[in-house]
Amino acid sequence: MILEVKNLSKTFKQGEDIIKALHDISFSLEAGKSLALTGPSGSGKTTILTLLAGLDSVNSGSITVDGTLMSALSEKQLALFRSRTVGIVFQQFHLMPNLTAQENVSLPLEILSSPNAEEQTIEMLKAVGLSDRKNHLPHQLSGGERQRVAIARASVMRPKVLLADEPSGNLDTETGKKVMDLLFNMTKTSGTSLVLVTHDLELAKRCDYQLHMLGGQLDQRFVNTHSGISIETV
Amino acid sequence: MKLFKYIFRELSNNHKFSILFVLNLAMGLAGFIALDGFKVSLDQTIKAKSKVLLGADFGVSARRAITDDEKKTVLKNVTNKATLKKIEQTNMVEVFSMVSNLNKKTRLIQIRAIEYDYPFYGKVELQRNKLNQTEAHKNLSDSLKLWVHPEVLGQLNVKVGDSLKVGSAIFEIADVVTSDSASGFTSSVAPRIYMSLENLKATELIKVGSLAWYTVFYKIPNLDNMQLTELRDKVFEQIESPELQIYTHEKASEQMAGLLTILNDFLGLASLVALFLSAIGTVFLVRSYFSLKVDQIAILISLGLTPKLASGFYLIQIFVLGFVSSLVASLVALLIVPVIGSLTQGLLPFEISFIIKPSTFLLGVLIGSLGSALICLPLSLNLIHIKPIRLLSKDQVNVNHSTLLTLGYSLPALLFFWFLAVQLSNSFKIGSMFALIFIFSGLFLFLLSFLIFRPMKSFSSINNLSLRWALREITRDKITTATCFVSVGIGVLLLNLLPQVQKSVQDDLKNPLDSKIPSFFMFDIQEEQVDPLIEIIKNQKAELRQVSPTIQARLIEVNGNDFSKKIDFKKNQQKLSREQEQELRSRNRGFNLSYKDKLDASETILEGKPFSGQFDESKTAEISLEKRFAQRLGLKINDRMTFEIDGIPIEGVVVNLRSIKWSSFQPNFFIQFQPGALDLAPKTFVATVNTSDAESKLRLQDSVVEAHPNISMIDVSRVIERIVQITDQMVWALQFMSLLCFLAGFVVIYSIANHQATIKKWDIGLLKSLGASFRTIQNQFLWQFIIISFLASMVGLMISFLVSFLISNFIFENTWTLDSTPAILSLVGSLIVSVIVTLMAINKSLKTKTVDLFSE
Repeated sequence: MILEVKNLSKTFKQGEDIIKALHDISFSLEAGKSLALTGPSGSGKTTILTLLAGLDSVNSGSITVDGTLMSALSEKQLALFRSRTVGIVFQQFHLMPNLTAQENVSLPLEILSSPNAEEQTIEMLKAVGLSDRKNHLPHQLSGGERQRVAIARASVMRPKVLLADEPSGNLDTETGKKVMDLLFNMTKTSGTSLVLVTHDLELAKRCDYQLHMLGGQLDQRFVNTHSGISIETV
Repeated sequence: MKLFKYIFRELSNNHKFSILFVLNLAMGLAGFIALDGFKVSLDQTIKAKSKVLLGADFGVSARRAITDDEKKTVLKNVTNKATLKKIEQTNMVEVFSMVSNLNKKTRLIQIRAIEYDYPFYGKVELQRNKLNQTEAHKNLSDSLKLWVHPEVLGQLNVKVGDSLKVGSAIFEIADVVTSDSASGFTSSVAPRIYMSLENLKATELIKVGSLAWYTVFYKIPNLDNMQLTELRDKVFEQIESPELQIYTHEKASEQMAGLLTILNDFLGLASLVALFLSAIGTVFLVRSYFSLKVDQIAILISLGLTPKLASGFYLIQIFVLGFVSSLVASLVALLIVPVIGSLTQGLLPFEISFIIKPSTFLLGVLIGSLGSALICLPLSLNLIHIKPIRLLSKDQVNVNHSTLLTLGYSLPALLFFWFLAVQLSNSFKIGSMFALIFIFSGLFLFLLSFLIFRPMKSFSSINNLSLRWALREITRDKITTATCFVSVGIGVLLLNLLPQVQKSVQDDLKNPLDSKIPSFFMFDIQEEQVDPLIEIIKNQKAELRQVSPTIQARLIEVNGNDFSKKIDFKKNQQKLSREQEQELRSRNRGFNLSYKDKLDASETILEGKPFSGQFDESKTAEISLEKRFAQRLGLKINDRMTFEIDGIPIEGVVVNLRSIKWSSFQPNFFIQFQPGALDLAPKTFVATVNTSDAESKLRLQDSVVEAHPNISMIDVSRVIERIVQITDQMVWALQFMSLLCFLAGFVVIYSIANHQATIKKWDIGLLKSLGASFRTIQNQFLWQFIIISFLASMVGLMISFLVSFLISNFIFENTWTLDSTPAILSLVGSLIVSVIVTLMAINKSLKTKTVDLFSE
C-alpha cells in the first residue's frame, strides 16, 4: 500500500470551541491507483489532504505513506520526505508571481539540489505542453496554463503520491477537462497514486476509487468497494 | 459620520497596515515636531528673558566711543514725554586684556567696565555683598576694585582681597560673581571681571586702535517690543555712522543664540531627511495596501460608487492615519525635546525652559495628515482608473497611468517638501539647494540600485538555495529593492557624513599641513611697541611668525556709489533669511584693513594678479579681497573701493581675489592693501608667536605683559580646544538627528519586509509544501535584506566620503582625512539592524501554517 490511514482524528480550536474536523478515519490506497475524496464544504476532505501532505499534525491515529510513518518524522525530515514523495496541486495554482514557468516548475528540484534540474524541468514542461511558454511569468499565462505549470511542478520530482485539491475548480469546463485529462494521463503513465479532492462527481467517477466525506467522517453509503482500497470505519 | 464609520471599520480591519503606517510616519515626524518644539522653546525663552539677558530695553554699540550726539538721537526719537522723563542710560566698555597676579602669573581676561546702574534688568549677583547692589557698586567705583568670575580665582591662583594688575593699575578683588544674568556669551577663552568705568582710565588699556566695544544701554519703560523696533529703525535712519549697532533687547538676545539657531536650522534639515524616509516608507506601504484593495474598489464601482468617490474614500483613510501618526509623533517628541536640550547645553548663555505649544502640535498634524495625503495623492488618483471589468477578467489588472501624469500628481508633494526645507533652514538658498540635491540624490540612488542589482541576475546558478532565491527576489522586485536601497543608503550616508566632516575639520585645526599652529595670537600692539616686543620675543627664544598692521576703516563707496549707508532697512522688519542678515551685517560694520608685500602660506590668489609692488602715488592703490567676503558684498576685480580712515578717504582698486586658510591661525584680513598705501594711517598690530614648550610659553606671556600690559595674548591651543569642544557638541546633536534618520530608514525596511512577508504568505506556504525548510525560507529573507543593506550602506558610505571631501575642500577649505571608525560602525550597525529588523518583520508570517493554501 502506498497510503495507509488508521483511526485518524483531527480537531481544531476555534475560540472556546473545539471543532472535530476528522473523526476516526481509516483507509488505504494501492500504488498507482487514484482516489477521489468528495463531500460538501466543511466535510473534512481538504483536512485529510493537508494531513496526507504532512503539512499539519494529527491528533490521533496514523498516516503511513510509502511505508513511512509520518508522525515519526521530525519537521526537517518531514520537509525532505514531502519534497521527495508527495506532490501537491492547488485549486488557486499558487505559482510564484516573480518566477517564470520554468523557474516555478524547477522549484522542488532546487530545494533538493537535484542535478540535471534544467533538463528535467524542460522535459516536464514539454509533457504539459508548455515548453514554448517556459519564460513567461504567471500573470502572462492563462488560467489553464497556470494550472498546467502547477501540475508540472507537482510532478517534476516523480512523487509517489500526487495530492490534488480541486485542480479544475478555478477553470472553465473545457479547460478544466483538459487539465484533468492531463493529470490523469500523467499519473497513469508515471504510476503515481492520485488523491483528488473534488466536488465534481463526474470527475470523481474517473478515479479508481471514491470516498465520500460527511461531517468529518467517511460516509459508508457512498463507499466504492472496488479492489485496491480497504476501508475501515467505525 | 457614516463615512468615518466606514473608514474606521476599514482601518481596524486592516489594523496591521494601519499600525505600520503610524509607526513609520510617526518615526519621521517625531524628530520634526521635537525640533519645532525646541525652536519654539528657544524663541519663547529669548522673548521671556531678553531684557534680563541684555540688561536693558535698548542698546547702541560700536568699536569706538559713542558720541553725545549719537546718544541724544535715541532720546530725540522717543516722542512720549512721560516716557522720555523716565528714560535711563548707562555706559559700558568691554575690552580684552592680559591680567596678572602679584606673582606675575598672567591670563587673558575679558574686562567689563560698567557704571553704577548696570544692569537695568537682572543682576550681577555677588558672593559677599548679596543684598545691597548700590553699596556694592559704590565700593567698585570708590577705589580700584574688581568683581571677578570664579574661574579667575582658579586661573590666577588668587582669592578675594588679593590684588590683580590690570594694564598699568593694581586692583583689589572685592567680590566673586556667583550669577551673571546679563552674561551674554561668556568668553570661551577668557573669564570675565567687572570694574567701574571710571577706573578703566587708570588701566591705560584704551589706546588708539585698541580693540574695545562701547555700549550705551537704555531703560525705556512703557515701550513694547514693536515700539522699540520702530525706535530702532528711526535711530538707524538718523545716525550717519553705519558701524553703530542699534538693537532692541529681543534682537540682541536672538543674536546671542546665533550659534544654536544655525545648529537648529541644520537639525531641522536632518529631521526633514527622517521625514522624507518615512514618506518613502509610507508610499510603499500605501502602494501595497491599495494593490490589495483593487478588487474591493472594483466591486464598489460596479455597485454604483463613482471612481472619484472610491479614490477619495481611500485618500481620507490616509489623511486619518496621517493625523493619528502626528498625535503619536507628538507624544514621542515630548520625550525627544529634552534630549535635544541636553545635547545643546553649553551652546547658550542661558537655560531654556521647555514648552510644547499647541502650534507645534498643529504643525505636526498639518504635516502628518496633509503631507501624507499629498504624498499618496498619485497613488489615490491611480485608483480612479480601476475598471470593474477586472472582476470578470483577472488579467486586466493594469491600473497604472503614464509616468508624466504620476510626476504631475507628485508635484504638490515635492513643492510641499521644498516649502518645508526653506522654512526649516530659514534660508531660501540653503533650503532650495537642500531640497533639490536631496530629491535628485534620492532619484539617483533609486536609478543606481537598478544598475547595481542588475548584474546579480548572473548569479542565478549559485549553490546556496536561500541566497539564490534572495538574489532572484532582489532582481525581480525592483521597486522594493530600490526603495530599501534608497532608505538605508540615505540613513548611512547621513550617519557617516558628519563624523567624516568633523574629523577633517578637527584634524585641520589641530594639525594643519602647511603651517605650524602659533602658540599665541597677540593684538592691540601699538606701533611704538613693535620693536621692543620683537626684542622680548627674541630674548625669550620664541619665534615671531608674523606681524601685521591693522587699520580701522569704513567702506563708504564702491565704484562711486554710496555703500556706507544701510541697505533698505525696512526689509529688516520682515523676517530676514540668513544670507540677508549676513549681507546687512557685512555692509554696516567697520572693517580692519591691512597691508603686506607678499602672501602668507595660508593664502592663495584665485583670480587676478598679485600686487605690482610698493604703492605708487600716481596710481590707485591696489587691493586684494578674500573671495567669499567679495562674493558676500558683490565685489569683483577692478571694482573701486573708497574707505574712510580717521575721516580721510582712501581709494583702491581690487586687483585680486584670494582664499585664506583660516585654520592656520595666522593674522589674515579680508581686505589687504599693497604696501605703502596705508603707511600714514593710525594703526595697531597683531602678531603670532611660536614657543617651544609650555614653560617658555608662560615665560613669554609673563614678560610681554610685564613690559606691555595693554597687549592682549590669546593662547591659541585653548581656542582650538574650545572650538573642538563646540564642534563636538554640535556634531553630537546632529548625529542624534542622523540616528533618527538611520532608524527611520530601518523602519522603512521593517515595513517593507513585514509587508513582503505578509503578501508572500502564499509563497512561503507553497515553499513549505514543496519541502523547503523554515530555515531556508527565513534565510532567503535575511539574505535579501542583508544584501540590499550591505550594498546600500557601501554606496551610502562612498557618497558620504565624496560629500565630506567636497565639503572639506570647498566649504571648510581644509584637508580631507578619512575616519574609518564611524564608517565601519555604520556598516556593521546597518547589517546588524537589518538582520534584527528582518527577523522581527517576517517572524509571524514564516510561522503561518500552510493549510491556508488549500481551498476549503
